[in-house]
Amino acid sequence: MPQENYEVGRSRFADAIQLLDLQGEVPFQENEIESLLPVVEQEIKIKVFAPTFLKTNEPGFAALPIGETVLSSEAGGTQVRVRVGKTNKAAHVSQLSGVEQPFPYKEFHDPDHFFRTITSIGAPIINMLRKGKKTHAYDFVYSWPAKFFTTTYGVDAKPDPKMPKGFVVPFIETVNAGEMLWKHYRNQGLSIPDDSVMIVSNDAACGLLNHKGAHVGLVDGTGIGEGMALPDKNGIFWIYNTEIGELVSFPLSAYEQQVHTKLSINKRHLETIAGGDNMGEVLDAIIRDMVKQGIIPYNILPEKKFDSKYRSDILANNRKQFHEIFDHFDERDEETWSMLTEIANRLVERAAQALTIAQIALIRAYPQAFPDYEIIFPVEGSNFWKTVGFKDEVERNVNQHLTNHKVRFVETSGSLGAMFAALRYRYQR
Amino acid sequence: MLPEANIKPSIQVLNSYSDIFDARLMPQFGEQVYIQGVQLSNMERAENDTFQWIRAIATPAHGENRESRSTIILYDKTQGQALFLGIVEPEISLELATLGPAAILAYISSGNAPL
Repeated sequence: MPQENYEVGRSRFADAIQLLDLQGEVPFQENEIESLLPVVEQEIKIKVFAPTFLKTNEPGFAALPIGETVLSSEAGGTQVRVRVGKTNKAAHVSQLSGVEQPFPYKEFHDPDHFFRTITSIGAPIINMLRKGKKTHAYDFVYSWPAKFFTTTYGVDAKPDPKMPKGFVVPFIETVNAGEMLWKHYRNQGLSIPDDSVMIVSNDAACGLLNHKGAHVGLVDGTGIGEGMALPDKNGIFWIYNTEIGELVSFPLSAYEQQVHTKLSINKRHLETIAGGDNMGEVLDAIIRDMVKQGIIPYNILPEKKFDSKYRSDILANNRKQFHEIFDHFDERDEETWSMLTEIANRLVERAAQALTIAQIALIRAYPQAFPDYEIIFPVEGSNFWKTVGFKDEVERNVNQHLTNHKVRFVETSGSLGAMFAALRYRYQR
Repeated sequence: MLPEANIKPSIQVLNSYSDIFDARLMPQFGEQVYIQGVQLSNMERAENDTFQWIRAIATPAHGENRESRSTIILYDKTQGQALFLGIVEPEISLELATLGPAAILAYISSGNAPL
């Protein structure tokens, strides 16, 4: 191991700390947070809102007939999910059966190929539905950029031609996502009644629909998104997709800047700091730099890369996994493990702080959305809930800064919210 | 500062059913998880060359009826496909889990799954 060659008298751990400090991979200081807050608040006010896609009198709840089914489809960065939901006695939607599978590939011949792939993955559920009562409510969570618009059958979306996350679908901008989904479900033999409703939505905006009284909903998983309900002058709430990941007021560390440039994720500073995928990229950049400088005494095995799962492994003290990525890794090497822990803690703390600042700024920027003292804040996403201590850190910091509100983060499911939106629209219409 | 790294919450929240079958994630998640509005506990696992399947106690997290019943999640290792049966009576899930993947798939395609 190169460990033995490290300069006598030098501490690898001390050098690691120095390097992190030098590259700006440090927690935000209190005075920095105070000066960022008004800047972020101003940025939120002027630029982060995407077009409206849904309106509702009271976000979250309405009386619905019991036993109504909804077919829910979701296409995100990695997974396709197709599920059936049904209204229950408490006017909630329960998930019944469902199927999920990663996209088999990311490049498609044309829109038909793309939508046929999604509906094919849903085949077990479609086969089941074909034998039951006809379903009149459909929702489609389309997690790429699109322009949403209302139609006679609900809300549809015209996809943007450029799809992030490595997807390529030529001419996708020429179709309506909801209509295409219906077309391919029909091709699979599903009978869709003429009076059916289709609600196409973005995952960021769906979480708040699942909790009574919630006017805001956050997604912090592989990426970051946030939906918000704002009242118009008639008291009708409109739900907006805030695209909060695009906030650029946050200063990036050198490693974050490197990832930001490499991935061409222009103008998405908050997502670079606090989005799960990007945090994995930053972890990889830091560890590679420390290996290159001899501070970490193991080579990274060919074709291996650090991602957010390794960050979770570090925080859970799960050392076994590192045999798969470090050449001749020694689990008893406490100095290296201390360095990895320090890196993971700094990444998590910066992410929690940046997310805290964004949430405080959002609440301050739109007081009309938060008339009550208690703010129910539904959040979906593994980064928020699976990272040890993350939720508590954000909740504590948000409440420390907001003297006129008490914020309570609750787990939500955007897919259940989307199902609810489709059923609600059917009966509102 | 963040809490000590070895403090683990008793219930973990997962985004996707396939995560339950990820060997890397299991040491952290233990045997009690929350996925998309359903809490799963007391997982019993089985496996053959192509499939893994789990029978678990399932408790809806929302709604009036939060009675614990049972479910099965079937995972196709070749495609990475996870199939969630829905919440069923424990005797049904026991029978299906014993019979294996073909029976689980047949049960769903027959239209007998909860609808």
